[in-house]
Amino acid sequence: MIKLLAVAWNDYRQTVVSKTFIISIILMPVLFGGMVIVNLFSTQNIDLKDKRLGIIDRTNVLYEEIVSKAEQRNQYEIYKGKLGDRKQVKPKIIVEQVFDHDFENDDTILVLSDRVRDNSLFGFLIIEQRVVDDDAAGEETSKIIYYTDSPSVLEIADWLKAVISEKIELMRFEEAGVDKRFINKLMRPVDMDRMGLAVLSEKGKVIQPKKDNPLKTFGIPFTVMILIFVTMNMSAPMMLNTVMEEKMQKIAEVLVASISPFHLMLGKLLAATLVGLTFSIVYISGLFALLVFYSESDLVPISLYFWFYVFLILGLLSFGSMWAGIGAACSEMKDTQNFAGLTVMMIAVPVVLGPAVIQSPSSTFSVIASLVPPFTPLLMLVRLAIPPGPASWEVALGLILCIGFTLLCVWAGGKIFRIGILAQGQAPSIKVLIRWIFLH
Amino acid sequence: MANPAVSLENVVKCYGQHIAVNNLSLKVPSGSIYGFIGPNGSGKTTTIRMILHIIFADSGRVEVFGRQETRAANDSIGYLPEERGLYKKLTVRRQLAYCARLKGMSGSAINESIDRWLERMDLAAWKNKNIETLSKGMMQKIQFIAAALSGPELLILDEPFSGLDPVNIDIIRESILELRENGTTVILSTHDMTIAERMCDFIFMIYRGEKVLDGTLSSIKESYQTNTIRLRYRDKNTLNLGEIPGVTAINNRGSYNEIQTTDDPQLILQAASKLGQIELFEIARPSLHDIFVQIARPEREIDTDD
Repeated sequence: MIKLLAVAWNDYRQTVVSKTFIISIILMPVLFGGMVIVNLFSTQNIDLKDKRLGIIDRTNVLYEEIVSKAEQRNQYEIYKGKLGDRKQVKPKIIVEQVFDHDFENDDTILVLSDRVRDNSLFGFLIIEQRVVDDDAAGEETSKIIYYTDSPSVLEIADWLKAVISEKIELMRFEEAGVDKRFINKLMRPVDMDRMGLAVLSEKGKVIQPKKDNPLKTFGIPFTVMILIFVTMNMSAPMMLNTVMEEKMQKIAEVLVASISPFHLMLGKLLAATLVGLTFSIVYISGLFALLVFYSESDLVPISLYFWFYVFLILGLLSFGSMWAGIGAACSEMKDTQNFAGLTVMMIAVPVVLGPAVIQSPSSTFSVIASLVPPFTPLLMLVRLAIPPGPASWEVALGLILCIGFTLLCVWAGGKIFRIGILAQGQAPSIKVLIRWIFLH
Repeated sequence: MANPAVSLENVVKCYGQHIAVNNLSLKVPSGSIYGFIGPNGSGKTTTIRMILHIIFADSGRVEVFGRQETRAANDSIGYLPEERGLYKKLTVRRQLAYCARLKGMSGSAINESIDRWLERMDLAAWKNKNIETLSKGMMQKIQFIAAALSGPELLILDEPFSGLDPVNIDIIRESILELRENGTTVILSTHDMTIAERMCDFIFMIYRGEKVLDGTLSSIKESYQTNTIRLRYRDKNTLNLGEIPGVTAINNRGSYNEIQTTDDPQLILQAASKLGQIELFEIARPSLHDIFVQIARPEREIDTDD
């Protein structure tokens, strides 16, 4: 046991003081922080140059409305902040009426396209007469056509469509002699609040339900899933690296002359698990501090922290054993790729399934997926994070299956490790690995 | 032999169809330096690994300090494998402390032992340096220290001198001899026959998984003794050696003659002295190198023919 702890402490210390670990532990906040900063920077540095649009209004009734709405937008809708201290966040729209008769001898669209190309226009819009013609209802060809060489700037096109649609709608109501405001009043939607359930406290007091919080129903489950995924992906492969180093650097033989291969692997597994716990504790502490800071600590029940660590430890032990076996079986890093791919896939599949489970945590699919042992650490945790959580029997069964799977992985990994750690040469095939597992 | 440190009886180890060690028996006397020789791939490493219980024999018995089939004795064994390495990012002290802990050492004994050995190997100044900053020779000495650090009762050294300069060879050799003086049994696996002859009390040779030599150096040489006598006269012209009774062949080797005989060398000496004044009379004994080559070469030649 003392030797096992000596191996664990040596590997743990080597890993946590390594540059790779220190970088990886600060990399995620740096990446997320970087993304936020880039996002803020990009929103503050959007193109605010005036957008001049040419309008050919063949209805002769819509242009004035567009001008009016553009003035309203330019005056009030493109700023953030209060009057006097406001900041422009969207470009102004300047409209210019163009008439068909201006282009008697030329192709209208080509001339206007050239103006867009030489930047005197940002785009141009042709409003067909048919747009106000009820007889033309149901025709498949477009009644308004917007031309631009910046199709990714959706905002301008969306604004034009909204302004014209609103005006046409109003015209139709007036023509039918119906007051639109009255119709809107009749058709206003019913407000609905989504609440949790009331509970009886230990003192017999009824605790009223709280309003449903999307952060609680989506944000927390997603965050715990990603955190457990990142932790497992970061810690378990470190196991592979240390085993490979000992094998490639010819240290392994000295080690197994002092400690049995199985105990050596267990020591390494313990180290990888401690590395994972260290990594996750840093992040969990950070998240907890944030929740406390924003007075939202009750968003995450204490029991979820417990389950997080239960499933994290089981995941680290099972996948760590797989990585240890792979590392011992291969003599070169490139040989590990085939086996490692399978393992990574087993960790990645539940992340892909995660959104579906979050959407419908009690569905048959979610229940079955969360009971598949390699997926249980992520998916059962996700289900536990969404109130009211899975049934107790589901958690118990998932836990039993997951513990069984972990023991199986440790046993099989130990068998492969025992033979592989001293084997040299070409990497064994899956068939050979299976033979190693059952070899006495 | 009273209480051998290591005892193997009829040990067999196969890898698939290949028989790595076949019906091997040996006894390593306590407190001796036991030379382990044999060509590459002859089964030396497999035998050593079985002694360390890193791998297990298919049949037969392996005993270390009277304990059979258990790793319990491993804390009393220091091991320096032929293919060896160190953690490049660790300091010398941490590397050695880790090895000592794996041998069951703890507390201040570790630091005392590390300091003593580093001083002895002239590496004290490198104690807190990373392994990757050391030269190859220094690393080799660190690996030797790692094997000897815990004061093992049995020290297994596989090619401990390879790659070392003569000064460091002397340092390691003196350390091994000192350990032997203090009661440590040493199994010394080497391809250097000169080293084996100079250091080993017993020689064991394995070839194709089978024992071909086992005994003291003099007994081995005696058993491989050829009836060859080296003879030189003061007067170089006194060379009518054919007159000596029992001489079957004469070879002129320049500074001396080599004669083959089937008779007792004492009778040859008496007869030879009648021919002139003898300057050199030596019953030629084969070197360990010669014996090794004599054993290993014939089958190699057959292999080549195949």
